[in-house]
Amino acid sequence: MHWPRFAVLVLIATFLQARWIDTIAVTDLRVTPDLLLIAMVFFAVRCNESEAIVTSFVLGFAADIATSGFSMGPLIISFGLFGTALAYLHRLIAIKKAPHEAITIFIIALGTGCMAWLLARVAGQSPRPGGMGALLGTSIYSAALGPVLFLLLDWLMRIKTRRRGRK
Amino acid sequence: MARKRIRISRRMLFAWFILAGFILLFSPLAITSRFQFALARLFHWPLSAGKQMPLSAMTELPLKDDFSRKESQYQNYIANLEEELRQKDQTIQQLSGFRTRLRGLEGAKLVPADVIITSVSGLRSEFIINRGKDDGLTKDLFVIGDNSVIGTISDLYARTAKVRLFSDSSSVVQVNIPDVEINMLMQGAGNNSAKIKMVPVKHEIKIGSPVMLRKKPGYLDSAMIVGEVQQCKRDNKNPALWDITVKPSCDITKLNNVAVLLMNPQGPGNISRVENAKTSGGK
Repeated sequence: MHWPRFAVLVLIATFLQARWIDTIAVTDLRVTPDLLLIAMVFFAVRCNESEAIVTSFVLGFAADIATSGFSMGPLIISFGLFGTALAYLHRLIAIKKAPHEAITIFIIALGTGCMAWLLARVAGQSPRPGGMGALLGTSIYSAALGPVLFLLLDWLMRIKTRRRGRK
Repeated sequence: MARKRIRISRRMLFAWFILAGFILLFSPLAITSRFQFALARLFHWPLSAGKQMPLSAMTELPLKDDFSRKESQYQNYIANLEEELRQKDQTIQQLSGFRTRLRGLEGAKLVPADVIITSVSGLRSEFIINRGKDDGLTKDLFVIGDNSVIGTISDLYARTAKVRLFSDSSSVVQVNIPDVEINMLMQGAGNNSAKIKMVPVKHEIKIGSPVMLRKKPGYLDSAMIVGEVQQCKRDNKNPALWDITVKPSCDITKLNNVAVLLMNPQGPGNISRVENAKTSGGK
């Protein structure tokens, strides 16, 4: 894992998510893809478990800063939990083809969105608004864009995939 | 001598990160806000630069956007002038003899500010500007963008401030619609809209009518436009009342610069960075 590259990538993705993502918004709900979530899924399925844990939490922290307005915590926890779970799941189920990656991103986006909403409620914060429609839109948009960005991330990060637990 | 490598088990790593997440989650909002303000200041340059750089795939859009934005600015300017004229007529008719300030912003100081971070999604509509207490700002001052009032200062720090937009669900302001002679309360409804309720259906409300923020002594000496009536239907709970949806006059997502309205500045010596300036891109 090239950590300096990862740091630069997180910074760039955070700035893009915070400032530029609205330029590709669609529908009246202004649905945008979640670049940090796509990156989280990428690192969870390409790195080993320890690296996946670190990258998931770091990307969750960045997502909290970039997208959640003025409350922090829900996305760090939900990204961390789902990223870690995905990394362990990847030992059992191969996620290599583009459709599989898209489905994974869709499910993880829905899961993290619901969990962040729940955590915000538990903590008494105002949850990320937009409702189920916006969450579903973001999940679909991210799933559609994800496999394309995976190619770019593969080239940028040049991670040597090591599959363990399977032959 | 070989360097000893620190090994942390995955469980410990996960536990520490989860613990950090929960600490942040249950930290008071004031602390996390401060933290985010600090990050916003730290990354001020790239965040500000980002807004002005269009993506290469969208080379034609800025021209169209600029045009529609200019058009919107002209429309807001015209609406302000019309309202000003209407108030002037009323003043003459009343023959009150009071000396009133006819030009809404005459004598006021406008503090130009750059938008650092915008957080507009769902029920929440806020942004941070690069002006704060050091620039003479105080809470509840009105913020102007594209010749319309867009929100108020809700939180203040030394060199930054948080602006709560009228579309934010916690924002409630007094407004009126020309030709409808009653006071109304406008509450933010999220998703870049606000609601006016408690208006009896006996009043005729036209779609597209301007919605004017009522003057507030010390903060705003003349009514100014905040939006226009987008939808008007009977209230589901009480059919004797209108449920009016208001669309803000200014597209917040394309806003780079705003101006904070200081109606009664303390004096030029006390405010170091205050300038007499016109609203961004305004007349």
